[in-house]
Amino acid sequence: MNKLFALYRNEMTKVWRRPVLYIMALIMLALIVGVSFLLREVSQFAAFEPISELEIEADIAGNREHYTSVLQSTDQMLKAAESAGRENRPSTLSQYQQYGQAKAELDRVDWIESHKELYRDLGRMGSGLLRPYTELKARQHTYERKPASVRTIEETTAYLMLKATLPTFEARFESGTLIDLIEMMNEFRNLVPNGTDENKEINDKVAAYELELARSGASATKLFALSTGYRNALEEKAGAVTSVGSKQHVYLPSELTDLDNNILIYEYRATAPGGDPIESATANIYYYVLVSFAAFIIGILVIIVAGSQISSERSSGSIKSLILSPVKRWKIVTAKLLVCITVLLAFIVLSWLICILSMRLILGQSLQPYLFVRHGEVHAFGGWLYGLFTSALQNIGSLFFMLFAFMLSSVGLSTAASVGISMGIRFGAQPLVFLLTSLLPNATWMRFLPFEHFDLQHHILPLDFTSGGIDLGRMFGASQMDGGGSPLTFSLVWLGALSLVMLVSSYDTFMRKDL
Amino acid sequence: MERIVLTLEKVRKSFGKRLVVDNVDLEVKAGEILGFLGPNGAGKTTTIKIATGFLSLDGGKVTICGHDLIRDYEKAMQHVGGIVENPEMYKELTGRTNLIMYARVQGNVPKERIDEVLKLVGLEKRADEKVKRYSLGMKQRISLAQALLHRPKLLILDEPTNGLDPAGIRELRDILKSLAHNDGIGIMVSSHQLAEMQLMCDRVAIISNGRVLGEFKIESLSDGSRAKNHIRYIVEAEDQENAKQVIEKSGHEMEMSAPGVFDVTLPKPESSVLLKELVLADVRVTGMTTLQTSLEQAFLEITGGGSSIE
Repeated sequence: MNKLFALYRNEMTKVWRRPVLYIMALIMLALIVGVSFLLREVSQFAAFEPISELEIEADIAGNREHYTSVLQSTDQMLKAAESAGRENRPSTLSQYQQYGQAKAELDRVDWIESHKELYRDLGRMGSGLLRPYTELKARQHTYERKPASVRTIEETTAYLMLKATLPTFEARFESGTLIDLIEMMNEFRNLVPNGTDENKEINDKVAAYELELARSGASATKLFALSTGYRNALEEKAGAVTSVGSKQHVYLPSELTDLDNNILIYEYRATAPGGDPIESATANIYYYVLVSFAAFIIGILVIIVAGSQISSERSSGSIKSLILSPVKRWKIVTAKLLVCITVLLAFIVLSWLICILSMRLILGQSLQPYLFVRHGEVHAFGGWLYGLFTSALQNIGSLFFMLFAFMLSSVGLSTAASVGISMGIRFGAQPLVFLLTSLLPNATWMRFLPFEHFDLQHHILPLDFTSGGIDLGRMFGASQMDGGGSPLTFSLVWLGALSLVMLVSSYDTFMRKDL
Repeated sequence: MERIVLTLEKVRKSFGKRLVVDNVDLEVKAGEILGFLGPNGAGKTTTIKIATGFLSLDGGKVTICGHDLIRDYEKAMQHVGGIVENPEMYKELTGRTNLIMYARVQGNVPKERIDEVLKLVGLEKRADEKVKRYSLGMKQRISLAQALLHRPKLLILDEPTNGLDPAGIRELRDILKSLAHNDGIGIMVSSHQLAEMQLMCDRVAIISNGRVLGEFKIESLSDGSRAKNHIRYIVEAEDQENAKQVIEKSGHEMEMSAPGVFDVTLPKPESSVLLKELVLADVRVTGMTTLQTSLEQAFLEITGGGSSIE
């Protein structure tokens, strides 16, 4: 063991002097920082801008006065037009709209007045949030103000739909929660045709508010328990129980357990004392994105390091110094392999640190605790630990191709060939395989391609918080299928078998080879 | 009984169908320098690579200091220091770092030993430079330092004089002689420089076409120790009798091989003295040339004078 350790130290002495390590570390840093800035821009991560009470008061007073006057003047004009029989004129129709709009604006002012605290918390977002509601109300008031003779069939249909939905909206609006507002907007979106600017605007807003919801922390924790996910899970669970044995849908026991776990996690989030695990939804997703970019760089680096471990020594002749040492060849291979693994682990930790710092300094976010269910109880582990695991799991492919490049280097290929072939397959063939998978979704042989099994994260630490209720005790169960992918056991066994073949080839060839 | 540090018994090695080493038997004793000679492609480097674990054996047995190289690899290699083909080190590291790394793997090499070997090969002032800045001669020296670091009992050197200047070659010769004769290390050296081998080695083995064709002590090449210091000259003179008298008077061993042609053996520094005496005695010397060295003669006789590469 002493000799193996001495060899390992020697290999470390050599590898840390390689400029490629520092170049790749800098590229990784630049990439993560760049992506963080990009995410900040794309996701409107602007600082939460509160609105002062004075501004709210001024807004209420100013708008009430303005829209009351508009309402009165349009109402008078409309009465005059109606008595003169000019209801169908374009100018009159436009005034109906102005009337409805003014009335809706007054509704909005009323809402603000009765929900000042929430409106203040929502800040600048608040007025945007209320706009769809206001527009909805404007349609309602416009329609109701119009005489039956000028109402179109389309307007009537839309009004009937509104009328059926509005009480729910109103009730939710009255409860005044951020979650309800978002959900109301989601439902409102369904009333607006797809592809229109209005629909797109609502989509953007929903995304932004969801982000704000996640950032709002503890104050939203309890509200979150009333979210769609939780309600859906409960409803689904109820439906599942009643529909067992029916023709509608028969739930698998594993699906039922997932549902139970999800419900437990939602309830845990709602009742966590002062905690804000709700934030994991966005913070951890952003971390995942950053770490994916880091894994790309790490994948390149470990192929370069592993692909040159033995071949470069052979081509430079320095391998003679190793062979002349009183150590068996398997120890030489082991030391070199351990160095590759050390580089991989060091870069996983480095990527973790850079991503965490980037999130904190650029995105203003911290990793949130990860929740999971074991033996029917919700457990949480630290966000930093989740981050480290995620970094590691994102590099399963890097590890696999590191072994592949190492094997090519060991069996006698040159550094250029070992690195080139490995990179070619890793970054060239992988997209091809994904394309084939989408073209031939039912091809069984696809399951034996290693690329299919690199994403172990969705088995072990699912990213989506709504499916975070995984039962670790059941994780290694043989029958669990996830999203049509392979079960974890199959992925692990298959990747393990391929890795073993590569390792055996690396050792066997180097130990037998004449140099 | 002389201790044997390296034994090759019926060693065979083929590359494909070509038999490169054919039943080679060889021994290196402690305290001797064995010259391993042979034309290009004769199997010298292959034999050396087999003895140092670079190549596998197709047949036979290699024993180093009593340890079988195959079965007891680490113990056997612990006694070996070597330079195989070209001296290759880690170019991006300094000479000293290379030695430190080698010492780590060898184990129980004290720190001061590194300075000791650097001084021995005359690299103590350049030890902290990167190897990539070394000349070929310096690389040979640092490789030799590495080979000696762990005080091996067997030193195997493949063409160690390559790249060395005349002073360096002489220095290396002195170092190796001292290591063998004073420290009792068994040394196996392969080289093409026969004159140098004659001066350096105690014994030579000549290999051709993968077979060891002859083994003999340098002393036995001519009449004992005289061969090392005396050179044979062919002196051609017009005045035969006068020349014969002058040469006889000088007391050197002489034989007249043809009329006016004398085969004279004398120490090299005295050749100019003899020439001066002949000229002063009014002998018209028409030619004075050296005969081939004894090792070269033996080598050419054994190997047939050509390259074995076919």
